[in-house]
Amino acid sequence: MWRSLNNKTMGWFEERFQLKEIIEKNLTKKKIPRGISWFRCMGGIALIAFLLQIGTGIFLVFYYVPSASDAFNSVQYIRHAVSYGWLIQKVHAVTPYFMVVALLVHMLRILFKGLYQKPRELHWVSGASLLVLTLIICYTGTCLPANNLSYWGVSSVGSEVGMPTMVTDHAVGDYQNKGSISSHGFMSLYALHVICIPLMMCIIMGFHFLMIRRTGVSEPL
Amino acid sequence: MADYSKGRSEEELEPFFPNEILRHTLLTFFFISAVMLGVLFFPESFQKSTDEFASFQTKPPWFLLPFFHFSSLINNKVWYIVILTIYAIMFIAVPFFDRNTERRLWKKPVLLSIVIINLLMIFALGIIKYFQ
Repeated sequence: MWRSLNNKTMGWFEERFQLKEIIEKNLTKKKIPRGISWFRCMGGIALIAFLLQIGTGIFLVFYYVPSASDAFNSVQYIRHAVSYGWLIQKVHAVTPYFMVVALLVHMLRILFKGLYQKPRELHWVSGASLLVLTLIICYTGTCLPANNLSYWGVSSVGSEVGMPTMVTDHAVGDYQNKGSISSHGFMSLYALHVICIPLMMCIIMGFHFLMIRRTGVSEPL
Repeated sequence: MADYSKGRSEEELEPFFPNEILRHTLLTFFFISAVMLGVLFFPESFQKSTDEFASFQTKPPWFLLPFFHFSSLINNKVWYIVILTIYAIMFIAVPFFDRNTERRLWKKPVLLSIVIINLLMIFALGIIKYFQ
């Protein structure tokens, strides 16, 4: 009975989506070169970390208040009052530490083995852009909880690094002049952190995966 | 789509499913375990910057330390942005500078030296900032 139900369900989907051929071609009947090392999975690990950040970030968006006066308290509320908020918030804060390790291992492996050479230059261009964007998104993320770290971050980096956006003018100017960041500055950082950079990363990631699909991974040396 | 079976015998190939999928799944579990250990054992970094915590300085993530330290070495904001932007562009454009047909970095002494010097420089900047 179970088998019959399963076949009927599969048949129903197959009739509408014709997925069988795609699954066979890309998954079950796909062959790859033997002897692929475990280090090749680092890019996939970075993707998992990104998805983890997206998942936990979506949860945090519901509770975080991007304003100078309420940001710190909203983070405390998430950590102490919301069920399992401490877990989700801390996973969101800790994952980048490991994500960057995976990205660096991935990039160094490609750099040392010269896997970026023709015809895979664009793999490197998209991957390196993703690493740069990851560092920027981590920087904006450290500024958002309005804790000691974010104060140090914006005042020591922002004033001199001054991300070439309106963020510096708002965030740093307000930090230095009034001793606290303005809501406007927070909104700029927040917009960069939750919309602009993730969107750019998703587009570049799509491009990265498309390139890998088209030209394939490089041969082992 | 890239076809890996072209020019290869059956012995030189392995199935994507389950071999590669299993590798990724196992590593994903290790990664999530590492994150959870980090959640449990990483020191708490959420302190409010108030007078009673005035002497307390939480450190930023390890991977941002070199940039923080570099920012304290260069006082001019514009120059700092320009240098970082040029650095990022050069990093992204590595394949267009390296036109050598040899793939292995070990056999390209000039590029190898540049890479090692840069890695050491970034590492040194981070370490110095960490102990400041």
